[in-house]
Amino acid sequence: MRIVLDSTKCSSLGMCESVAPDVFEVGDDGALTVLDSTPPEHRRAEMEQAVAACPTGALSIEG
Amino acid sequence: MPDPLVVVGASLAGLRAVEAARRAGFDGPLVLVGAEPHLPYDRPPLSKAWLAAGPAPEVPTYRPRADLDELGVELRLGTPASGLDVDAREVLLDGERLRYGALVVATGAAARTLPGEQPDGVHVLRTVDDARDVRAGLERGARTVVVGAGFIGSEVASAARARELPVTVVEAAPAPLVRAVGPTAAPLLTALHGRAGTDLRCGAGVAGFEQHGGRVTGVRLDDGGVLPADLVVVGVGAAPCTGWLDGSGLAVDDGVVCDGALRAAPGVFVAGDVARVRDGDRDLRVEHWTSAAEQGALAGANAVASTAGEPLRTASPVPYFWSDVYGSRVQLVGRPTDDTELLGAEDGPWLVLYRDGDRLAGALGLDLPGRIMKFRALVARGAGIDDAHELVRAAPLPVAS
Amino acid sequence: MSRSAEERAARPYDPADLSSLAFWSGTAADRERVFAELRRDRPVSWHRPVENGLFEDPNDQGFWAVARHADLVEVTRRHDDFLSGQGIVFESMPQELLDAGQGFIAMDPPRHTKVRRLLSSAFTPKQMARISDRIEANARRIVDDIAHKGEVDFVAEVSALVPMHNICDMVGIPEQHRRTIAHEAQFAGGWRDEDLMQGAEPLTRLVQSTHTVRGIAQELITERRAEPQDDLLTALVQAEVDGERLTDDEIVSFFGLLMIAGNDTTRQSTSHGMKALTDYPDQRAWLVEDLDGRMGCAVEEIVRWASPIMTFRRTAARDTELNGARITEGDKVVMFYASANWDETVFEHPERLDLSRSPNPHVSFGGGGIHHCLGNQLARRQLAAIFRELLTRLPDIEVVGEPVLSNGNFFHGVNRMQVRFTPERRAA
Repeated sequence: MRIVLDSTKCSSLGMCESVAPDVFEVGDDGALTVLDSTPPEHRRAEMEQAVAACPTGALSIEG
Repeated sequence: MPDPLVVVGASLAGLRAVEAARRAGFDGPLVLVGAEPHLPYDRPPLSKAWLAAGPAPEVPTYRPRADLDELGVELRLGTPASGLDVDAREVLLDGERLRYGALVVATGAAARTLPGEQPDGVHVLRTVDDARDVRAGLERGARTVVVGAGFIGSEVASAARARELPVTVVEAAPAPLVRAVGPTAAPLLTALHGRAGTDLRCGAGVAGFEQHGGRVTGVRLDDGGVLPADLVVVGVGAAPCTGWLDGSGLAVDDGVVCDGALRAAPGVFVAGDVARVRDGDRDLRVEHWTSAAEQGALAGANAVASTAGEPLRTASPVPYFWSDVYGSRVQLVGRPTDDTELLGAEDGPWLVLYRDGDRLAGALGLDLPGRIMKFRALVARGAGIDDAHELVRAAPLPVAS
Repeated sequence: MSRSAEERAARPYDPADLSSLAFWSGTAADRERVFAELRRDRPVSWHRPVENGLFEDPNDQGFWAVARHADLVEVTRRHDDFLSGQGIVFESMPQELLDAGQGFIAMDPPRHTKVRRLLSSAFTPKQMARISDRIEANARRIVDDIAHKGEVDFVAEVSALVPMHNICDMVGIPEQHRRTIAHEAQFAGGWRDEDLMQGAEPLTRLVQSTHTVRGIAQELITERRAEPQDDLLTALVQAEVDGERLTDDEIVSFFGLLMIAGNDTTRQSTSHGMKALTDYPDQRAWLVEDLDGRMGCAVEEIVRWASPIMTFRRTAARDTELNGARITEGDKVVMFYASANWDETVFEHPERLDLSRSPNPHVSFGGGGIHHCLGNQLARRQLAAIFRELLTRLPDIEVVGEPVLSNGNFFHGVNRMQVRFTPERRAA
């Protein structure tokens, strides 16, 4: 499973960080960092929740 | 064929409800009913990016129709619900009675208007059609008057100033936003207007509109003064859309009253702006994007659980709200209180911490996009004010660049 | 000769000297006299090529000097008109060195945007919090090591060590490489400094130091790929934006940049800060009255006062105007940070150290925009930590004699500076 960020869509609202703070972090400049783009499989449901929480559809999961 | 799961209200909460229903394994018929003719779309951009100069934006729909088809959602758009019969388990649509196995009420709220005649050029800002009208006014270079210095009004004023148009904000209260964000943050946010060149008039009530040939020409104030205007945007809050539930037997009290599982009656769940959650000492109706999303998902899942006879879930997520004004981002998590502490520089970035005794009740940040979710996490785990201080000590707040 | 080259050739040089080795070998106060005149009369002025000694560029015809605060901010923000990709120092450089040594600081969008996003993972609040305890521990360790000595070279034993340990901790550089890297990193900005060069041929030495640092970086990156750690290098190896990762080369370049930008800047600010606290005892007394409450504000003024980076260059992407000056495509445009930080239209009495100055819109971290210093929070935090430690434990520490300044045109460098203090009595 790979987390894919489309930074052109990200609006730095931090919903994903709220769901999984060890995987996503918004920086002081508003740029989102995917701290771990290949989280372990057992976290899939949580990652799907983080992706779904994004208001602008900037995140997706591959694989 | 089982009775369908019906979701009334095709905005964010309604959409999240149908998505969650499918995620929960519901494979029966799903009907999504919407009063507006549009596919579910995202409202926050309507008062932000949508009003900015540049090419006309597209309707910010969440998902294309094909996606919803694939989810197996029957769309009944442009179809306002007109009544509900809880005993018969039927929703009234355009004279048709639609039977449901479980129902999610997500009809949202409607923008309040001012009493009296509404000449052309006077708008609220709630729907994509409202936003088109407001945008068209700004495109014409209107002299703009905004009634209400809340967040929607402030966003409209920012959009006008970003186009270098003259704008006046009229606010009935002597000090705006105090109820929304507390006594410390309110004046700091209010000060943004002046810095951006917006004329803010506080303690000024609106008596009515001046018009010529059916078009607005000005806003008449209580003191008799008139502010000339070609475009008036009224942002004085929203009222939950519950009129269609009269006589349904659901308890309505500034919103449809529901419990912590969002259940209003057997098989009936509520989500979003229309939901008033009463659960223990919690009695809240929240008009935030995040609440609509989170409650929508919970209501959809619980609606499915109720038909399957499974236990319902409850949730009490920490409220989160944001606004973009004059190029600054405002983010509020948790619950504002009057016991506050200000960190950072007054012209930003700054942070207001809300205390409840020695607990952290909430936090509001101006231009601190990297910080606010860390405070949401603290509020969620019932952290103390000391934990908030430690967070700031370990990573001091950024300063303006 | 191209049209723009002809225009440049026809343009008269400003009489003020910003180009000679002598100008850059003087003191900040000497330079300020020239800057003050330019700010007042000729805010954007054309100058003969800087005296170089590294690399002769026969096509170098000169540069524009931007002296005022407002103009500097404008150049910074107009990154489409004023590019970084052709070099960010005065001097023309061989392309290979540009690529290797300057990394993303000398990039333009769209590549810069992407790389900056990836690199910003190094400076998120979470990362800052993670190393925050280390920064304080390193400050303690540095003061521990000098506390009994009574007199030391402040640069070698304090200023140089503060950023070295902090950055190395953050990046994840093992102890055995630290001094090598800190030493080699100095050549990037100090290749004109005889004191540092010790007779070495500048270009050769610069290439050599670049190779050394890059070699270490590559070795560590390979290790992190095989065995991830909880450090910045690992984060950079794993970071991903829009499906893209950083290449090894990009990480190596950033590593080099971090070592230079991270080490040399904080080092200079620490030294200049110590000197300022010696020269202005009343300001120091004010600060000490409420160290915790006033340090944040004081650090801003120390950073303004130090102006650790004196110049950055851009190159005009097209014919354009800047505060009335007609700039031609390809012109070098050099921003003078010390000058902007002394702009009397922005700072009241800029010549006075005022630790309580607020607001303090200094440009020591840049004028905003896309190249604004990524590590500014890290720098602030380090300065606060070391000065708190010094002023608490060695309350009478002061500079004795005059500091030995470096004479480059990039870093406002201090090479050596003696300090004296009453040795700390060892705790039982």
